[in-house]
Amino acid sequence: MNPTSYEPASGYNFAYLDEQTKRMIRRAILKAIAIPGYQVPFASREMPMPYGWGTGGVQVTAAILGPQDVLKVIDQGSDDTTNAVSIRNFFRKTAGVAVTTRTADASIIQTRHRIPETQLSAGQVLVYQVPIPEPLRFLEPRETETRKLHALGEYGLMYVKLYEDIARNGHIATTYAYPVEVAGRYVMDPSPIPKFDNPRMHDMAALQLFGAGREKRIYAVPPHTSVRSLDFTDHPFTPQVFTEPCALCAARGVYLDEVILDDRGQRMFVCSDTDFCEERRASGHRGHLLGEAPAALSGQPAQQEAC
Amino acid sequence: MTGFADPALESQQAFRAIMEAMARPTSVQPLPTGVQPPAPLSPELAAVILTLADNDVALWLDAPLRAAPEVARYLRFHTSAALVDNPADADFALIAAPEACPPLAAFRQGEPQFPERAATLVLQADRFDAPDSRRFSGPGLAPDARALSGDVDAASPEGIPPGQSDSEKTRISANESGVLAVAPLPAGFDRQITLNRAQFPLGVDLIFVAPGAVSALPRSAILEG
Repeated sequence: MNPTSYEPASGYNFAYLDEQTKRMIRRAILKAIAIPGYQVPFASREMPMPYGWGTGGVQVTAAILGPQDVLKVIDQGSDDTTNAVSIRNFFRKTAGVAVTTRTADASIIQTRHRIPETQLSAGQVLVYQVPIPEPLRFLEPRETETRKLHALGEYGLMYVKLYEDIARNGHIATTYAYPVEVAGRYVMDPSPIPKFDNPRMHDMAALQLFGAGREKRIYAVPPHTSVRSLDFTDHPFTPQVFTEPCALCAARGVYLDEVILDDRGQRMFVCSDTDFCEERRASGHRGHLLGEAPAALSGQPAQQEAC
Repeated sequence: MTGFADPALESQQAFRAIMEAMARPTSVQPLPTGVQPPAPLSPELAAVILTLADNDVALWLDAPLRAAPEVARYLRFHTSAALVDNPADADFALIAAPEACPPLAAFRQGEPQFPERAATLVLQADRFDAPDSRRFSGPGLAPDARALSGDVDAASPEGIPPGQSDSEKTRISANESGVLAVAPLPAGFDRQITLNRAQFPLGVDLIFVAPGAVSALPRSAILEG
């Protein structure tokens, strides 16, 4: 899909939010960048979508978006799910910006629960949708206390939690929203991305912004910032490993989704990043379950190119 | 004495320049300015403040800006922000004469549980290509920035169109050298900025403007050497 522009709907300010709200969010973003990993409170607004559908990410995107931007929205790696399609349409309608599914073409990528497989570059901004921004929340429910723990840099509680994982399961069983330490100071919830994606946050060339709408927090990881997944010397952090390649594009070393094929236990593993998978297939990579589209449907001449 | 002709789009452009500057400390970002403020307020300083200030914030003006009543009128009209006399009460400090800037410690430093409450200082400099330069490291600066410093092109920030062209992407990465060559600077700057960093996560954040460009030093930046 190539970037395309649309005329914005009338009756809205550019990118939906009013200017005062954008200024408030922009001030929070600047402070969040200056204090990497610290959650800056902000006056989150009601958005025309329910909490849990990315209201935090949408507000951050609306505050930074300009007419020259090209926007990509993914949900669990996919450009085609309801959440991603509606948010893309929302900004197409209210800001008239160009949208794309191609990671390399986008200047702003709003994401729910994944980091794209394609390496991001310096000109790009990655906006995460965050449900619970406080990494200590399920260990200490009181905001007054978690705020003190962050102020003191006292993260023993989190290490106890990881240790209890080891005591019960023999390994750290946290597989998503795996806590990280940013720039050697604040412990941060990377949002519910799989721990597979954690190493990508470290020293990333792109700016990473996090928005939590219901919890009213914005935080950030500047480019080229150290992001360390918490671990122990005798139980080092290990991302997930997949034994088989993607069934459609044969990619290895990428994050795979399990898809159940029938009621007899048949399953396939495919790339969770749909754009990455499509681009690989377009350039000729074929997994063992990739079929041939009938000529009438594919729009291609019946003869396939050799690969 | 005009503000933004199109507030939504012009403030967005200015904000993206400021955000890039803050995310990549010491990098020089082109700052488009369509505003005409009264002297001695520069168009760049006015653009930054019109982008970030409104009736939710308090501004502090340094002596040259306070000496010109049109400046206060202009800022009140375009931002509705409160103007305060005590530097410690301000969210944003506007500094037209950086060499006479009060000590950084005179501004709000934030609180351990709310470090974001610290002030942002916007300093009106003359140039980003001064012979006297300093090197910084920290978040936003590539660890191998030294290798990049050979091709840094901070001297010509103008003439680069906004947008996401490939040339701009390369320019930004070449801009991550960590070298700050801004003049003039507040007196005793090296000592002050080192003390500011020593109290991280507390401390003030600095935004520098010069004709056509903006650069920044968040409190996370570490002075090398």
